Amino acid sequence: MIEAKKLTKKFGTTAALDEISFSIGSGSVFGLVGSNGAGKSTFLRTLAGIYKPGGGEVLLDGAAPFENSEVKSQIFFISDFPYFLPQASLKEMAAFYSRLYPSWSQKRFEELCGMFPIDSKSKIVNMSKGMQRQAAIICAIATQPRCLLMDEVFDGLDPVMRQLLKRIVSGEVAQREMTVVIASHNLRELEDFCDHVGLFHKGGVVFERDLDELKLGISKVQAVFKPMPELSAFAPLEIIKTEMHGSLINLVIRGTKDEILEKINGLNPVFAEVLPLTLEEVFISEMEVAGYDLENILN
Amino acid sequence: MTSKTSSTRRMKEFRETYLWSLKKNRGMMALLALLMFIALPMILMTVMANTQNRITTEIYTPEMWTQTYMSGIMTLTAALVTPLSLIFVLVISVSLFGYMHQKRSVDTFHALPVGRTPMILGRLLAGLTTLYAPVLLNFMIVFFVGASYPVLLQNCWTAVLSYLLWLMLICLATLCLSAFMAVCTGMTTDMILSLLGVNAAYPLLIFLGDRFASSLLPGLNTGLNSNSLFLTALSPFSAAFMPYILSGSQYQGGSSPVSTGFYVWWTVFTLILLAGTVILYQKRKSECAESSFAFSLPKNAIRFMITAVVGLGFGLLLQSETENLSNFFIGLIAGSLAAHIVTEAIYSRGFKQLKKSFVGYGFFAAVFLAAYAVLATGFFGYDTRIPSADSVTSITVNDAYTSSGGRINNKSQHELAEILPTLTEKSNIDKVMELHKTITQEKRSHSYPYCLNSANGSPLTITYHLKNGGTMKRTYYFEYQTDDQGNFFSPLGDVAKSKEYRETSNLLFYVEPEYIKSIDVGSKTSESSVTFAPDINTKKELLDALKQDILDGKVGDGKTAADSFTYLMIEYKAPLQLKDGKLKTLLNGYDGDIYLYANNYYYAEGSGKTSELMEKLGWTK
Repeated sequence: MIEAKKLTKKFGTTAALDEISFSIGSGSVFGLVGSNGAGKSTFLRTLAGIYKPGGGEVLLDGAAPFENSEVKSQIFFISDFPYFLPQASLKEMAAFYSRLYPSWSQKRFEELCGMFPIDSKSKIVNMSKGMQRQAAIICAIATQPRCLLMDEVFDGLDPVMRQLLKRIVSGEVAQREMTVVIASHNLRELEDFCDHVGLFHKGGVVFERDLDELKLGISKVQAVFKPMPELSAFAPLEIIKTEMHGSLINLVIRGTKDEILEKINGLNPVFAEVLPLTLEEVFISEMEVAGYDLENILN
Repeated sequence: MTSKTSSTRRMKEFRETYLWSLKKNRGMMALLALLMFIALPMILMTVMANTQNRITTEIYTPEMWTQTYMSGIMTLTAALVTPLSLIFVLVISVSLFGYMHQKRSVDTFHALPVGRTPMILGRLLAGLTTLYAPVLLNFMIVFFVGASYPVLLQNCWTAVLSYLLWLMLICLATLCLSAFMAVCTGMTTDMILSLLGVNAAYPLLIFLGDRFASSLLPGLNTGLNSNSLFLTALSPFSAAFMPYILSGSQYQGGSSPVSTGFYVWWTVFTLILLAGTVILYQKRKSECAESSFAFSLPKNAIRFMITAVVGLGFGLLLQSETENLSNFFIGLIAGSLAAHIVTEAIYSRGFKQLKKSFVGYGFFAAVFLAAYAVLATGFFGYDTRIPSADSVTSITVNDAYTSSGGRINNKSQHELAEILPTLTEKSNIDKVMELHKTITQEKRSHSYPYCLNSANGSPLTITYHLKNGGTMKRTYYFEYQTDDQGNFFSPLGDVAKSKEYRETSNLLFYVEPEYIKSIDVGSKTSESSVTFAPDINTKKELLDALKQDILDGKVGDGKTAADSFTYLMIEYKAPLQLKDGKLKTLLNGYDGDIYLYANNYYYAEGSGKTSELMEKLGWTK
């Protein structure tokens, strides 16, 4: 299990992580989402043992990763722009990692080389961005880590490769209870991949929740009222966002579908429908509450 | 995790880091081996082969072969092998430690299950192996080259080993300094600039600081010269060449051209650098990559050194050209300010931090002002200090125009002693101390606090040898006056004409007739000379005649304008084994081989015992 306890990391006077506390269970696929500069990559690097926490701690099964080779041998970090040894091929990178990671599986490496359309003997530096990502993923999975950290890994992968990645990772999670923490702005990709989501903003955690629970706990309602009731009539509902166009009202409301529908029907609409939100819509709505929305930015 | 498991793991991490770093640099190792082969064994083989081809017309003894072999090794090591090695240290450092200066590579390497200590030490050892393997290989080839010619290897293997060990030590020191700079800086460019900066600025700062202090404080004699360890203590690039500068261009035989002090200092300094590198690397933040400096102390130190060097250099230059003290300060401020701004702009990639950096400039100004104030006021009584007469056992004088003794070297060409006038008679000691007192009083009355004074004129150095075993040395500069015949007046006055002074200032009063190998007789107006190899009795006669003429002032050393027209050049046997006598006593009973330099003695024909003897022997025809 990954635990962050009042974790703080500052760069100069800027707090990239500001006393964040949450936990990630073993065997879960945790999606890290958030605004630009929210602290997602900083969190991943701190968990990977690259950054030393400025305050608090981050633990993997009770042990801090910084300067702890035993813990780090169970973690593999794929950065947003992976680095490879100069002029190395995938085979050479495999040889490099195999000597350092005790759980390296050469068999798994060869299986993965067969799945991805990549030449293991060509120099990685000459490959496209997407193929370099594939090379990083192959090395990562072949080390058989207990915890896989990925930063913007979907960027540069074509849709087929994305699906392949998701399937491979999901398989590893199912077979070995590997824990995955993935940071991405591509919420559509995360939606059908993650089972938990954490939303970061300005160094803090806005929320951290089971994805299904998150999506069930917030809904979009489209209703037509004739006449439109006063806004105070909607007070019993926990409204996040309101849009009115004549007699049509669109509401984003926290609560279960049944609870929301009961209260809306109590106001006698002509028509009312509850729709689930996509993760992107949830993100935008929650960010609006935090003051990070388009209107605020433009004003 | 037990400590045994931890140390086993660390050893594994170290080994793996070492192996893949070595693998990464194997091309570099091969290239260095090839270049070094060309620079050393190949050229040496060519030289030896050419020598082989020439010897049909002359007899070449094993000693001559050894001389050729060792001179070749020394010259090639100094001129080619050492610079090549230092260049490769820089290149290898960039290859091994450059990863710290890019965010992407730092992310990858610091995420690996490898601790920072094994990471840095593994890389250092890989760098050393990359440097040492070619060096050892090529020196081994050099040994075999020597073995295939009639070279007396048993006589010179210690010298060769010394060159090799020195090269290896200085490469290690430079590599550790590079690693230290890599850890402290955020970018590879800053690492290279800092390395070059400290290597260039430090010796210059010591040299200019010495010039400045000597120009300000009368009598100051720091003893700083090209042999000084202190001059190159933080500059491995400069220190690398010191042993070759000491030895000169010719191998003269001997064991080690590198002094023990150099070995000890550079070993200690290297260990300090290594420890500092490991400790700082553990503290270094990964996010410092691509920023200015991870630890600002080297930057501040180097900026200080460069500011001081340019300021002092420009100030002293202007002052010496114009003999105007205010110009020194103008040059100091202009030079130091410009250097500070340029250095800061280079390190900070612009002028954003310039305002904040003036705290550092203020520190330089404060240090300079404090040093100037202390020196200008006499450095706590240094300027007027004269020992009491009853604490002095003898005084040695080094006067540019009356000291003619020469140096005595051992077989490694290290100086054993210099023949300098040494006064032990009370009357002479009293006269010199009175002169010293007069000088200090004149200096004080001329201007106090003292002003900068270019060291114009010739130096006069007075060294007091004290009863407690210590020494006190002072150097003053004089514009020597001459008489109508062009003879210089020594500031020492009558002391320079005393018997004791003349006897102790000339090598002839120390040598035995058997030490003399040959005598060249020539004329100042003629290019050719005639060489004589007299028997022992003639040598004794000649020695006695010369000594008497020296005491009578009828033989000179060629320094005066009105010197006579005939000269004798006495060449000594080399090497010399001393027998009991004045020279052996001067050298405290030294019983190794020594080398004496040939000296010229000028006399007027028809005047003095030497001229009489020349006539009698028929050597003047």
